[in-house]
Amino acid sequence: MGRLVCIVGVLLALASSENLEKATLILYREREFLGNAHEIRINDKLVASLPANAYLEIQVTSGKTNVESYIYRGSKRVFSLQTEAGQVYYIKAYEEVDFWDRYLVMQSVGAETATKEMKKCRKVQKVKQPD
Amino acid sequence: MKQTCLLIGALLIVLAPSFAQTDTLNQTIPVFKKSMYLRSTAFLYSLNLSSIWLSNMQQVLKTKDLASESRFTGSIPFEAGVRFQDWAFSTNVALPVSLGDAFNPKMVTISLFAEHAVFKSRNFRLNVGAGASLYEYSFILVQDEPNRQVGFQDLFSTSFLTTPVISNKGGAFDVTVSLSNREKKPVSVGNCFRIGYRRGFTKYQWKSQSFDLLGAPKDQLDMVYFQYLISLSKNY
Repeated sequence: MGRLVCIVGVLLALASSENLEKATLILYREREFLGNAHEIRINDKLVASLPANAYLEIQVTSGKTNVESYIYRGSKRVFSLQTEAGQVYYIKAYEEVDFWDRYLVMQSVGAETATKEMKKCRKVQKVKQPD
Repeated sequence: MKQTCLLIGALLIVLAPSFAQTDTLNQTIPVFKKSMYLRSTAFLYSLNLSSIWLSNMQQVLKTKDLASESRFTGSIPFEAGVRFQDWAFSTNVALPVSLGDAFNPKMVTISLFAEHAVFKSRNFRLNVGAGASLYEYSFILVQDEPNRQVGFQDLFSTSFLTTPVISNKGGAFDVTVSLSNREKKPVSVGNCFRIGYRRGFTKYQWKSQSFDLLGAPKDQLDMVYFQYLISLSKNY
């Protein structure tokens, strides 16, 4: 019994230490009129498609992180940030459309603003975690 | 020439986004100010597809088994206008293009529009509008005679199964709904989709340019049209 508790304890410790090395990115878009879904890549790995009025929760290894968006017949945009383990980063995105181009504009926002703006957003369930 | 213009227009639409591919790392985020570009002037090139009902004449042609294809027309409208805040005013001249119809129907219009933005988002503007138009719808009935032989010397003194140009000319009012891109740069190119309904002020008599046509029916225009427009605007 004591051995089992010990193994479980070690596993839990390993799991928690892994989580401590990770940072959390929350990427969200508010409601947009005729908004298109954009592909999101984290450090060149496709993680999900982000439509309007939705958000993604992604666990990333701490360090330099590139968040890239792309849409067919639009252009690719990259937003990069330095992440630290255990921290949560909120990134707000919105779509820009004109005759020549369409793309996502991304910017960091504070937790308070993000929580308020994300209230009606639905969580994207199909997320392929990058690591 | 018109077909070439159409082809170039279509190619531009398809290829345009490929020229805009960029990979920007942490580019300065453009901030869209709502107060920007309240006034703008615009020139629009477009393609117009219409469906026309002039029921009395179409009924006459139908009884003679001649009309089934005179309803649809195409045209290239040119439009110039000015926008001030949520109001846009424009004048539009639409020149016909042939859709390869046996009746060769043509609709020429000169219109004045006033449109008001009823809904705006960051990227789009939804407008409703009203307008007034002068129109002339005309066609020629040509019946082919594939088995007939005509000498070249007799060409200009022989009668053929072809009518002169018959036309219906008058004034009409328009109601429109359009969806357009919002301008974000001092000089902007944008898309605009417009659906409109046009109705004659009253019934106008069918006429021929060649002679005084007696006993011709009268018709009140009913027309539905779709326009895809590309606008080039200077914004202040």
